[in-house]
Amino acid sequence: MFKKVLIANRGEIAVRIAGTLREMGVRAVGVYSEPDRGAVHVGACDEAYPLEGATSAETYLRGERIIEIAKAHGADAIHPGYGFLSENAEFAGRCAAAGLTFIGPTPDVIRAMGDKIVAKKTLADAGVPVVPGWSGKTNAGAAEFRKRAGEIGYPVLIKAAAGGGGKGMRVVRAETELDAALEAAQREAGAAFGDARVFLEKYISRPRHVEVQIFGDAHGNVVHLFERECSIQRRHQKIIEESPCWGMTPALREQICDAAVTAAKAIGYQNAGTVEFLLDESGAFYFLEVNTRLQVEHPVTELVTRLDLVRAQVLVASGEPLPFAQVDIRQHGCAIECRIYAEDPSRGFLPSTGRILRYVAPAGPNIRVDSGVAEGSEVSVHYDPMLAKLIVWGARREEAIRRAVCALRRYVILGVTTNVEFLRSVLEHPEFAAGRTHTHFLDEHRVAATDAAPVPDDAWIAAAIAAQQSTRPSPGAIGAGQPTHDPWQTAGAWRAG
Amino acid sequence: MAKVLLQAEGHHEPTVVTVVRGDDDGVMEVSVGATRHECRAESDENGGGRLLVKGRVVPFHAVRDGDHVLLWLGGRTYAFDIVRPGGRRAGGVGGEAAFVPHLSAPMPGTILKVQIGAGDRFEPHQPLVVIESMKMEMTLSAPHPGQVREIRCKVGELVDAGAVLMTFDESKGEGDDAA
Repeated sequence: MFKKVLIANRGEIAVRIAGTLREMGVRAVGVYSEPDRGAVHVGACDEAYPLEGATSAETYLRGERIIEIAKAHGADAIHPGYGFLSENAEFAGRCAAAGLTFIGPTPDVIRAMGDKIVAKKTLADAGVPVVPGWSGKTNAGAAEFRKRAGEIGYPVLIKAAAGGGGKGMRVVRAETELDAALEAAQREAGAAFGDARVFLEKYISRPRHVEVQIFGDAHGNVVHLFERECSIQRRHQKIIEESPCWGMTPALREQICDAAVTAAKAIGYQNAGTVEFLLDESGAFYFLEVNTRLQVEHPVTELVTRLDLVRAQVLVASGEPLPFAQVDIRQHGCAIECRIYAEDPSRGFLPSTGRILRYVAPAGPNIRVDSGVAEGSEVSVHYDPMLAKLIVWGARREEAIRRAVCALRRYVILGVTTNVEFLRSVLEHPEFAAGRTHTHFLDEHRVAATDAAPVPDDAWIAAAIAAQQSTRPSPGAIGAGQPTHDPWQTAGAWRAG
Repeated sequence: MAKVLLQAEGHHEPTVVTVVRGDDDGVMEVSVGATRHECRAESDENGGGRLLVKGRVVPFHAVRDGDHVLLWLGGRTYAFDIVRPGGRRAGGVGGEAAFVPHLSAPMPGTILKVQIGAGDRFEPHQPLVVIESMKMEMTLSAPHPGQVREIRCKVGELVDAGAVLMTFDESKGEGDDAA
């Protein structure tokens, strides 16, 4: 077993990984950029070392510097989390060359699955159903794309070969829109991934996004940990995920999970991964992509299966066999995750930056909050605006939904605009309760937060009282958990004044 | 007696809230517009506040930040501007989208595309500038009809939040010229 593992990440996922490492008796080594000096994840680790600079490119993406730190401080392995270096085959290879274990799949598998075109072909060859599309000469001109899109039939989807997270993705509904969309997708893909190649896919209307958690070890064992339903998306990014997939028949569940295991075996998958599918209204499913990392939404699987996926990742990476066999893995009840973002749903989900002046996360039975921020945290322009994840468990789906709604109602974040109220509007939507989710849910139902609602008198009163308090001290004086700026600490103060 | 003029984000008219402190029990009388309430404000143990209004317990969290008050109450968050006596705040003109004489960057980012030229007219919702921020592309669209006076940004430029990207004139024939 490893003695020390370096976590090449930040935010909630670094905190979450550090927690499991400590429980396993493994020392957690953190790294941090200059703006992250005071960040929550630094305090969650046993040791932490600085990365010079602020931008992702200068810090969390600098593989060679991270390997240097790991070697200098005696780490045996690197856990990449998600994003950043997690799906970088070259980095995984460099870790191995430096004598460090990369906690994830082998570089070959990362490389093959990272190229969406290769991945699709590999899985189609293994007998997994794929979406009709064209991934031929990817540097072809617009004319070739127009011809192929016509053959597939509109609407079509343009996707980045190296893509993920909705970047470099465009829906094209008619031929007249193709040239502009192609140009935008290529530019965005080039900027985001350094690879401007894109491909075409048939656009399936109102699909559900269903993915299967897979896990393999170095001894040839491959299991699945059932499915997650992640249809609630904005800008092609998931914001609410749940398990199990509501309304899925046991027969379909078995088919889709078997397809994922077939895929994993076909590529010799090791460690944690996710096989994503689109499920259409007829119940047909198509392979989308393999994510060769721990997913943001892995906690819903953890709550439903009662297993710690990070622990299994560490064990498998150290050469041990999987700590669970397929027969041991069961789905219990229902889990829902809500991603808490610093963004403004009323302004096109525009990211919001600033200092978190007040932060109170909900707590209680069957409520889990994986948070990367605290009171005083600075939300900067440099990194992803996801602040935390709220994950709840319920014996039944309705119970889980109610629990999530109540927890969101108690979630206090002041200082940056968040999507907390928006998430609640989604969960309270009758169509969501009915389980009729699909990837265009938010657009189709025009879900909105409660901005336009009138301000109740209670709010005017509380605001007027707060307005009479002296202003908060300089931002530097605010620290995590320090209530020094809190005007309510001394109710007598204003009474006397 | 203290009079506070507050304007809630997204609302055009400020509301006058009058706070009259009562006896030593901390009971006070608060008028919101024409409606009077008797209440108490207390701090609670988790660092928040609570309002007691006729036996109802209303927990809240509030932070004053300069001329702004950020408030969480009943599961919603609110932002208020404290309006200074005699002071004016932007944007409070009638019902329709007020004319704003410029387009500013909503957050720091890199300019990817400028889709209009100086002197060009534009319609509401017409895309004007594409900006990349937090690794996402965002299109900034026209808030109202108008005409571009001057472009003040260029492709590839890194801009700060609030930076003026272009200035506008009102479309001709629209009547009153502010100057």
